[in-house]
Amino acid sequence: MSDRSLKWQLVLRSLLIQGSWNYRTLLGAGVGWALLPVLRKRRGAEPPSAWIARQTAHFNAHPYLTPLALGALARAETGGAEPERVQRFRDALRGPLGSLGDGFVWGSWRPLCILTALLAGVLGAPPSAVVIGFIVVYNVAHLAIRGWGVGLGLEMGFTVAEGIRRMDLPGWAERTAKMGVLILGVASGVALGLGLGFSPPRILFLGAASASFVIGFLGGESLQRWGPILLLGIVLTAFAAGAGPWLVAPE
Amino acid sequence: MLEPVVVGALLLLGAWVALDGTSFAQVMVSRPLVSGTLAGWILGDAGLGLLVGGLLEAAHLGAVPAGGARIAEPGPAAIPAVVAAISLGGAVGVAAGVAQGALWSVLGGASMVWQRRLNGVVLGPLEELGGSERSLSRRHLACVALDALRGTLLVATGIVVAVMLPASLEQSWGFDGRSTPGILALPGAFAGGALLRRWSTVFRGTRRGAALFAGGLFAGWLLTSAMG
Repeated sequence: MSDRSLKWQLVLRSLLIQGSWNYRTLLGAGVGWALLPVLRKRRGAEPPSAWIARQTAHFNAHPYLTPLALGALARAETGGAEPERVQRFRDALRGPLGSLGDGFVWGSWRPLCILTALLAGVLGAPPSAVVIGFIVVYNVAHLAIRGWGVGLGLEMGFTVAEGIRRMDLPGWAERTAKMGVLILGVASGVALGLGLGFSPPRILFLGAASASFVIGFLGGESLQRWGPILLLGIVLTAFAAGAGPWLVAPE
Repeated sequence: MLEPVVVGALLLLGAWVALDGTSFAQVMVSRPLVSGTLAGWILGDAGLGLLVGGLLEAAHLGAVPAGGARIAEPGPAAIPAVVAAISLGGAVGVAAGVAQGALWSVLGGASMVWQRRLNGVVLGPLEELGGSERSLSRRHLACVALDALRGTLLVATGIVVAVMLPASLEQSWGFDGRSTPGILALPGAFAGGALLRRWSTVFRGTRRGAALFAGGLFAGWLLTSAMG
């Protein structure tokens, strides 16, 4: 199996790496499964069962950056490194690959792309353009990170930390967040300008929207899981009260 | 009444969307904005799908699935939400659909927790997992198949509830078609505030971040004014 073939096998298998996510080993079994093509290429006398047990042990990282760990581990295993050294390296990769990916992908890139798509939809872009634009733009970065990660890991092996530093994900997260603040401002301005079609008393709606925004800002991350509950509460309250007619001015 | 082929397509979409959430690829077909629009397209109204999916998306915008955090799963939930919106029709359809979507997203999040516990059972003890290459592949792929089944069941039960929603709900919903999306977008303002808090931490001092946000706000207001 050539390095190129191994690289693509690892990239493709990385797409299913979270398939057996569980509370005991987290991504561990997925990492072991994704590394199976390396099993036949590795050097050393370790029995296959011991090798698989080692590679399926507890592991956690951001799914888009796990390919980088796969590449680096594949390089270490095929280079004949001692199992204990590979294990220490595997453990050391977990923390940084989780926090870097969460900060950039989940914390900045994804909400920025979603917000931009929502804004395009509110401004009247056709549904197909909103969805295709979102999927294409988002996945340009996503798939580039996966492909680049495996390649870098295979190239650098144990020294992959230097490659991670060069990638400057915190810098990208910062640039994306700045762009996000601007787009969030535009979205808020559009919501304000449209009044979202609310009939008088418009001030009531704008007051509720502003209060929600401020509560969200003050509460931060800790309140985020309550979004769907809040939505459900609003609809059920409105249904229960039959509140519409007295809020909406007659045509 | 939904045609069997339409129901089949929605269930397949449900399986794909559930897989995309965690198990396979995560190309974001699992965002309600996308799954809602696709469901709307299957049902013949992609615009309504985008509206319902977008409202659900706004309510879930700030959630971060870091480190296996237990959060709601809005992707599959958007599919029955769009079915409900189309079945009831009008503003009440959008409201009832979005409410069902919010409830189903919470149920979906709970089902993911059960699924992850079940994955631990399917994988078995680590000593057994390391038994052979074939054993590992079989167990790993079985977990993926279970996730697809979970998504299908979630969407199937959601569709059953969606088509059973009584038409009499219309009498209790007094908001018109223009006001309804505004009210249902309020949780989006909540999520927007949290996002601003998260993103503003990258600025050293508050002045530059505030200036950027204010500039965007003004540009957005101008944009809508120009559009009439």
